[in-house]
Amino acid sequence: MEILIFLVPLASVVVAIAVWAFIWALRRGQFDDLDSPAWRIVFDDQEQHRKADADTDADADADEDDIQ
Amino acid sequence: MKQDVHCWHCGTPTARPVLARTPDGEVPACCAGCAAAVETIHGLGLGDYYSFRGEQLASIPAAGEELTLALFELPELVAPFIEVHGEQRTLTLSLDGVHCAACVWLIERALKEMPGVVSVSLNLTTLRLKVTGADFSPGNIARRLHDLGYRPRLPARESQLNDDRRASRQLLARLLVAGLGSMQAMMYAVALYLGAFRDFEPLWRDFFRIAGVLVATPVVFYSGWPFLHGAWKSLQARMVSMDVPVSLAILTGWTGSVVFTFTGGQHVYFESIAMFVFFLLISRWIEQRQRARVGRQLVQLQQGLPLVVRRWQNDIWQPVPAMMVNSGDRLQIRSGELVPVDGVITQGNASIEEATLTGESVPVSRRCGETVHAGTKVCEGLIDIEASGRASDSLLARIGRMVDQAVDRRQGETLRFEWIASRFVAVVLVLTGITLWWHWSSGATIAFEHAIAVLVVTCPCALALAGPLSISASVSAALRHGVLVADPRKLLKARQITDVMLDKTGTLTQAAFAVAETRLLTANRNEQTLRAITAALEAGSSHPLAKAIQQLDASTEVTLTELQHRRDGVSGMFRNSHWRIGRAPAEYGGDAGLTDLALYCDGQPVYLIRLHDPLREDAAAVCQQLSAAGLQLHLASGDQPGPVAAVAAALSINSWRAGQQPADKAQWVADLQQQDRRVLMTGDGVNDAPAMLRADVGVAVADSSALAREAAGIYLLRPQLAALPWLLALSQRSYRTLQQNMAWALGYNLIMIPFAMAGLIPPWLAAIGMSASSLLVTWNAARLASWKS
Repeated sequence: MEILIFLVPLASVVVAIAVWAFIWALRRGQFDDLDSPAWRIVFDDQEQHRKADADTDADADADEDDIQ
Repeated sequence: MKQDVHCWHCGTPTARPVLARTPDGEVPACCAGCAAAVETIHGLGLGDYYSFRGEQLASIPAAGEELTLALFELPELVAPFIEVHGEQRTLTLSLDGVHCAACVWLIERALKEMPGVVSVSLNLTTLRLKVTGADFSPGNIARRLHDLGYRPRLPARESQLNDDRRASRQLLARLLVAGLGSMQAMMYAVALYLGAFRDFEPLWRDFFRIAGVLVATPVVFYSGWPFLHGAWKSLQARMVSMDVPVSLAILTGWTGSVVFTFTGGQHVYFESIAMFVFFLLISRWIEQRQRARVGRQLVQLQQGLPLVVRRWQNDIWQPVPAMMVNSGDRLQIRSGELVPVDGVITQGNASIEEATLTGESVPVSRRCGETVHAGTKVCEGLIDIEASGRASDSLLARIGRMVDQAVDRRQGETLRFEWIASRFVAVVLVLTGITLWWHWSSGATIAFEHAIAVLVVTCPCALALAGPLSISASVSAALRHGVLVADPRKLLKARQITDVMLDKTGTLTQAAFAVAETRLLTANRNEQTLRAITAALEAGSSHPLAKAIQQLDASTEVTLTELQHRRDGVSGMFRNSHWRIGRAPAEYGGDAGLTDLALYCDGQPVYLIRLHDPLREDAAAVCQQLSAAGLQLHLASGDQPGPVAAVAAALSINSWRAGQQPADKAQWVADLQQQDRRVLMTGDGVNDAPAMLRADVGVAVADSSALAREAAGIYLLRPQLAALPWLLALSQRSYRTLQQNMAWALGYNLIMIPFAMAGLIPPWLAAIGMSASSLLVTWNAARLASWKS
C-alpha cells in the first residue's frame, strides 16, 4: 500500500509530461489540419509502386538492348 | 440524340464532349478548359489524381481569368505575401476549388516539379498554400494552379484566420487537459469507492482526495475557463446565459469537494466535475470543427466580384486591385470579365449578362452612357467605364450588407432546445436550494453533500450534448449528400413547410440554352452545309444562345469573311453570299416557350433554329415527389408569361406568376405566410434573395450567386434538385433525433432528481448514470450522421 505514496505523484508527473508534449505539438501546428494527413499515407504507397514499376521497365529495356 | 456523357474532370453532363488525350486513351471533357486540365494533369504524370479523388469532383476551370493571373506577375502586389528567410522565400496563397485530400496531393506534387520550388504545403482546413524556394516566379505558380483547375488568390482576411487558428488550438489544449484530468480524477475516485466498501484508513482516503484536488483544479480553472468567463460576461451584461448555471454547478461542486477534503466530509465529486467540463468541451469542439468544415465550403463559394481591374493610369491600362478603385477612375472591361464596380459606359458597347441581379441569363445590350452594375458579366464587346463609386458602394455590395444584417439577426435567435436547456438548469438550481434547506436540520455538511449530489446527478452533460450533437450530425450527413447547411435553424424548420416556391431560370431550368428544333425553310438547300455555316457564324461568340448554336456543327471547317457582330445578330460572307443570323420572321414563330432565330441568305430566311432553356433532368420527378408529399407548389419568375406558362404546364404547377420583380416575390411569400402557410423558397439569383430572407426556409441551387446562397442559408452543391425532397426527410429525421435526445436527457433527470434530493443516490451511481446517459445521446446522434434516406 505504501508504494502508492510514490506511484501517485509519478502518475501525475507522467500526465504533466503528456500535457506538455501535446501542447508543444499543438504550437508547432501539428493539429491544424486534421483531414488531409489521413490521406497522405495512401499517396506515398502509390508512389512507391510507381517507382517499382519504373525499375522493372528499365530492366526490360536493358534486356532488349542486350538482344540487339 | 442527347447522350449522357459526363465530363471526366468535373462531372458535368455534356452532349458534345471535347476529347482529352491521356496515356490511357481519350476521355470526354465538357469544355476545352476541362480538357486542358486533364491533359495538364496527365502531362505532369499525375494521373493518379483521378483514382484518389473518390466522389469529390474537380471544379470547372474558370474562363476569363487572365486578368487575375496578371496580378501575380506584379511584384509590388505579391510582395506583401512573400516572407523572406535568408535565401528562402515563402509565398502564401489562398486557393479556391480545393475539395479533398486528392487535390492536396495533386497540387503539392505538381508545384514541387517547378524550378526553384523546394517545398509546398497546403492546409486543407484553411485552404492556404505555402510555397517555399530560393527562386521561383509567383506568376508561373499561379498559372500552373490555374491550369490544374484551381483558382489562386492573394489571401485576404489573414487576421481573421489567425484568430480562428488560435481559438481552435486553445480549445484543443483545454479539451486535452480536461480529458487527461478527468481520467486521473476518475482513477482516484474508483480507488475511493473501493476503499469506501472496505473501510480503509482515513489517511489513505485523504491522500486520494488531495490527489483529486490536484488534478481537478486545472480542469476547472483552465479547461472550464470559457464557461466561467462567459458567465461573468453575461452577468456583467445583466443576463443569464447557459454559462451561468453551468459555472455555478462547476464552482459549487469544486468548492464543496475541496471543503470536504479538508474537513473530512462523506463524498467528493472531483471526477464528476472534471467529466462535466470534458463533455461540455467535446460538444464545443465538435461544433467548432463542423463550423470550420462548412466555413471552408463557404470560402470556396465566394467569388462575387473580380479582385483586379484594368485602370487607365500613366497612359497605359494597368492592372490594379479592385479595392483601390475610386469614383471617377477609367476602367476597361473585356469580354468574359466581370464588372468590378457600378459605373457608366464611356466608350464602346457590349452585351452584358445580368443574371446575378435579374436571374435571367440572356444578355442585354448596353451602350455608351448607360449604367452597368458590379457583378454583371460582359459577354461580348469591350467597354470603358467611369466608376461611379468604390466597389463597396455598388448595388451588389448594398444588397450584400442587407443580407448580412438579416443573417446576423437570425444568428441571434436561440433554438428551442437551447431555451429548454437553460430553463432546465435554472430549475435544477432551485431544486438544489430546496434540498439544502430540507436537509439543513441534519447539519450543514450533510445538507451540502446532498445538494451537491443533486447537481452531479442532474449534471446537464446529456442535455448539453443532445442539441449540438444531433445538429452537427445532420449537418455532416447533409454535406455528404452535397447539401451545405450554413444555418441549422433553417434545416430544423424545413419539416414544417406547406408550400414550395420555385424560381424558373436557373432553378427549374438549366439556364443554358439548347437547340430544340431546326427546320429548312427552302427545299433546295443542303441542311449539312447550313448547319456548318450557322455554327461558324456564331463560333467566336460567348452569348448563351450562340453557345447552343455552336453545338450544331463543331467539326466542319467553314471560313467566313467580313464577320460582323451587331446588336441584332451576326453576319458574314461565304461563297459570295451574305449570311446573317437574326430573329426569325413572325410567321414562323409560334410556341411561346421557344426562342426562334433564323439564318438569312442574302436577306431570305432559309433555316429556322428554335432554342429553348431545357428543364433540369430531374425537375419533373422532384415536382411530382413534392406534390405527392402534400406540398403546394408555386412558380415565381421574372421572365415573360409565355415561357413561364410553358414550364408551369410541363411540371403541372397551377400557381404561377410571371414578370415578378424581387420585391414582388418577397411580397408573394409574405402573403402566403399571412394565410398561415410556411414557405420554402428555392432560387439562384440575387433577385430571389429578398424572398429567401422572407421565407421560412431558403434553398439556393447549385451555381447560385454568392448573395443568394448567403440569404438562403442552405445550398445545394450539386446541380440536382433531387436533394430537395431528401432535405425535407432529413429535417424530419433530425428533429426526431433531437426530440429523442432531449426526451431522454429530461426524463432521466426527472426520475433521478427526487432520489438525489432525498439523499438516496450514492456518488458512484450518479457518475455511472451520468456517463451512460451521455453515451446514449452521443450514439443516437451518431446514427443520424450515417443516415441515407
